[in-house]
Amino acid sequence: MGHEDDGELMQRFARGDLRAFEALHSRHRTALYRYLLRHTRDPDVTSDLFQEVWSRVIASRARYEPRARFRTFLFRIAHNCYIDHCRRTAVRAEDANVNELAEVPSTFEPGLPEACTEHAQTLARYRAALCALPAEQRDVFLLHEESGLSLAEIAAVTGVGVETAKSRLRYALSKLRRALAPTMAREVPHGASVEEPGT
Amino acid sequence: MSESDHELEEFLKRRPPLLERLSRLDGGEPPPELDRLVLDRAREAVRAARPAPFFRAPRRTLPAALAATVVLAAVALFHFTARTPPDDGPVETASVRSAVQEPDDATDSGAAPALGTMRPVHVAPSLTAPAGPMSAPEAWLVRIERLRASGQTEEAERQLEAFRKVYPDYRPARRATVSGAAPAVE
Repeated sequence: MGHEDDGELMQRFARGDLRAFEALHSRHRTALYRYLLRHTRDPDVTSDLFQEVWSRVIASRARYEPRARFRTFLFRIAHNCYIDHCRRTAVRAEDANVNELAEVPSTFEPGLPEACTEHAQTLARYRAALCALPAEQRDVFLLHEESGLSLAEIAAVTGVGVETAKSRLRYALSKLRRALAPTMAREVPHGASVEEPGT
Repeated sequence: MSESDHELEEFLKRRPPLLERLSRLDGGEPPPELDRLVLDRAREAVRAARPAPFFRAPRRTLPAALAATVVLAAVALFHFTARTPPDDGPVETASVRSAVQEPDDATDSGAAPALGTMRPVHVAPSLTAPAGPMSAPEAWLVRIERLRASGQTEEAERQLEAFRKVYPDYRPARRATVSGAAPAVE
């Protein structure tokens, strides 16, 4: 079952094979959870959305046709669930308390070695920068970062053209890079691929 | 190519190690109870979609059930063949007999026969209506017609009167006459 295509697993699940669903769930659970968590920054809301997404997958199993990758299908549902959630709660991502996110996570204890504290600070900056992104840009970035979808698939999931998706991703990267500039500057010797031209 | 384009191309080609590390540090794993909830929901959905099994007896009772079915079928067949009466004549006569209900010839009482006492008229096949099933009033009217045709007018009138009492709202069908004309009920 490990090498079985997601689409085949979904079709087997539609025929009543619970093990096929377990395999699907196991493959995508982490990516889906992180995508939702990065958006909401609230574990409770994330849990609700996570359940909602899988419920919709379960409910639509009979109608599922493997025309696109299952991952695209799954993240389209996730994207829609998140949009619905935002509409329901009338919360915009920009309203989140960025300062709160910029605080050092509690998992990092004070007094730990300097490197660890530095990681914590970078992570806090990353979270804040991510949260400060406009929702559309963050969505495109997370779809690429967490789900590994291609630009064409992201465009299909978000219902925009490929060029629009590309443009949003470009802006998101640019803003994240600016927010993480101090860290990135130190990273240069270790990661040439993230070298920022002109800096 | 602009700076941001170059950045995007690099990003699309390979995930920057810093972002990869940050994503890993940021963590986020669904708690086991959440997984369990999702899997339970899937299990419920599969169970609900499965059709409920129609009475399923234990497998070991199958031979006994088959034997009982054979015995019952044999008994029923025996009873059926033993009680079937011998063939009693042409089907046409039988159908007329079952369909026709009118007063007995022999009574000639003039009164309308009670429905409970009506008996089938035994008419010769040649005197029955030409074809098709015939209802009781139709057959009665045919008979009245015959009486009239054979000159027994009084008897015909008496029968007609009785007929009107029994079937006051009856409108005759044209095919129900001997000659093919509608019987004169009026």
